[in-house]
Amino acid sequence: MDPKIWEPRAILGKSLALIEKTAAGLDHLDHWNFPTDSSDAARKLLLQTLQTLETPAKLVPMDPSVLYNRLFSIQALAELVARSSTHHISWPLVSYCDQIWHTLFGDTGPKIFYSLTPEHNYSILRFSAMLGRHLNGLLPNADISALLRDNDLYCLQLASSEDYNLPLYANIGHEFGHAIFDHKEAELRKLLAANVETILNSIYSDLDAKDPDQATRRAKRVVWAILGFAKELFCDLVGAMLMGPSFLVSLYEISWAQNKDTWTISLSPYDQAIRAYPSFHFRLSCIRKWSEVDSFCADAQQASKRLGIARLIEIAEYLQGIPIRHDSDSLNVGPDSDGDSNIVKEVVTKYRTRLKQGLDAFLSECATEMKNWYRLPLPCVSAYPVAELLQRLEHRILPNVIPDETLLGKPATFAAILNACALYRLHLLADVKVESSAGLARDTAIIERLTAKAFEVSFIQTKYNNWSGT
Amino acid sequence: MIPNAVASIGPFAELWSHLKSIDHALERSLDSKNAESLTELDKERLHALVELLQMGVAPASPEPVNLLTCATPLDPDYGSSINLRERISTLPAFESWKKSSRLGFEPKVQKLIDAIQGFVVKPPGSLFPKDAPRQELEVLRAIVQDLLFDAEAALQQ
Repeated sequence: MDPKIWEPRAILGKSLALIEKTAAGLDHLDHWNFPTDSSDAARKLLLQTLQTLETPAKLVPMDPSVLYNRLFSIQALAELVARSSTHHISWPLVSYCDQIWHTLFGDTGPKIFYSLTPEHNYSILRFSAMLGRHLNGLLPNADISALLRDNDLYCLQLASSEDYNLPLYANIGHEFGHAIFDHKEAELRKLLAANVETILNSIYSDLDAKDPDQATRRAKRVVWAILGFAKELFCDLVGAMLMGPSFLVSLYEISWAQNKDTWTISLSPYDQAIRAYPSFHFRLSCIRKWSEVDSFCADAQQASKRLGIARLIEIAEYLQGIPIRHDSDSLNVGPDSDGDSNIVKEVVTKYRTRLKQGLDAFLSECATEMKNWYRLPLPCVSAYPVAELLQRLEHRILPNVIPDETLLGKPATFAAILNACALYRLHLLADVKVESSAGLARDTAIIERLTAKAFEVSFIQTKYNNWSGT
Repeated sequence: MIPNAVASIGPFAELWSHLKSIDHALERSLDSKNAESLTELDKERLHALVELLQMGVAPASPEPVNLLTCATPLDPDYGSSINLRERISTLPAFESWKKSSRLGFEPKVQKLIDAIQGFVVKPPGSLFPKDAPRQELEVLRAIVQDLLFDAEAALQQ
């Protein structure tokens, strides 16, 4: 037998077996365990895709080895659906996230489902678009479009150790920013273009002077890197608008023990996978501005005097002390194996200061557009409710109600609870003494539990409070 | 551990799949049994090769800002990570093809692009299938396989 003939057949056999196995795994998932209906939509989409892939007529022009390879990527998506379970994901968080998502995209926009990541972090994935990419080279474009039509699905991946991660919930605001960027991409690119056009022209001239044959290709990669910086900063802006000062605290916590002065560009075999991150110092300085930390702190000083909470002043000082100087920033471009990394580093470093100015101006215009596009309560939280909730936390009382001169009070908002919890936890951590670490673990666990419960109670209070008026 | 490149995931696996599916379409086009009945997928993979080559010989852009406003966000663009000009011009199969011709690099690549486009597009009303431009398809296959070799090496690292 000729291996040239039977080897592809054997790979096809393995692929078909893998399709069956993946489909069976998806079939056996108990949809009652899904946190929302969108998880089931993701499952159905994958099942439909697998069914299409094994259609005999579709298999004829397919390369079996490409099918085999792509099935591993599709399996990774199936695992996301399998990890979407109420056993691990708190429903009040999902309910609040769904509420924010609905404010942003309404009934007709993209849908989101929730899953877990083994990493201690949060991330969002455009699930349906990712699936479409995995089908590239396997099915004709018309078939891919037919599968994805009316199925614009995102997956928010939550940290699996989320019991110890409540204050980092603020990062979810940043992740939602990615979905907004996708849906306003044309407008946002135009805003960015207007603010960085002269910089791009200068970079292009430099690349052209080095090697005119490679200038357009390299310029394209630089453009994607700049777009990457802009996207991350835009998402930070959204995080600051949705979550307020708690997002500053979250991002600062993520930056702990790391170099905060380095901008990074990770080049990739294809443009859309180029990743670019501004330095933590630059990001923190932008977030401080857009989460209106200075006016929050000024109000906090007043509220602390009125309510007699000395701790609030300490917390405000801490917020204002978060490092934001970014004048000694540098740029790192990788991987070293990519032949363009040195040139990209050279040209972007040269225009770094102008680029920062351009990105800052871009963000100002984005902030205005965000206010036009969405009806968001701005600022999302003020100092007074946070001060009231801090007081309750200090006395180990559920931080779910803001006094309003009625017997019941007003249910606290998601942002108010999140900010109070994040700031109080920070105060506990900053005050830690080595000899009392057991006490600290107990205290932070109490705060986390009180906060989780407050999310639950305030959600119920807000949603089912209508009876009181009837 | 024995590296299993074909079972990898990530951007390099996507590049490998992209190139491998193009190579498969070229192989099918060279097979006389299929040349008469290219499927939609075959044609699209050949078109993907045209896009890759066009990026490799892209003319200087007078308006670099257009790169920012015109790029399509969803379709993966593999062209700009590969220094195609360098790769193709040093490839023996490309060098020996039309050796006697005085054409420069760009016109030669354009000839390859034209050959694919002419092969894929069947003129309206035409009853007979076109003959595959075998020479050009073989040069193109050599180019794709050279790129595939690198993509596979990246997967094994």
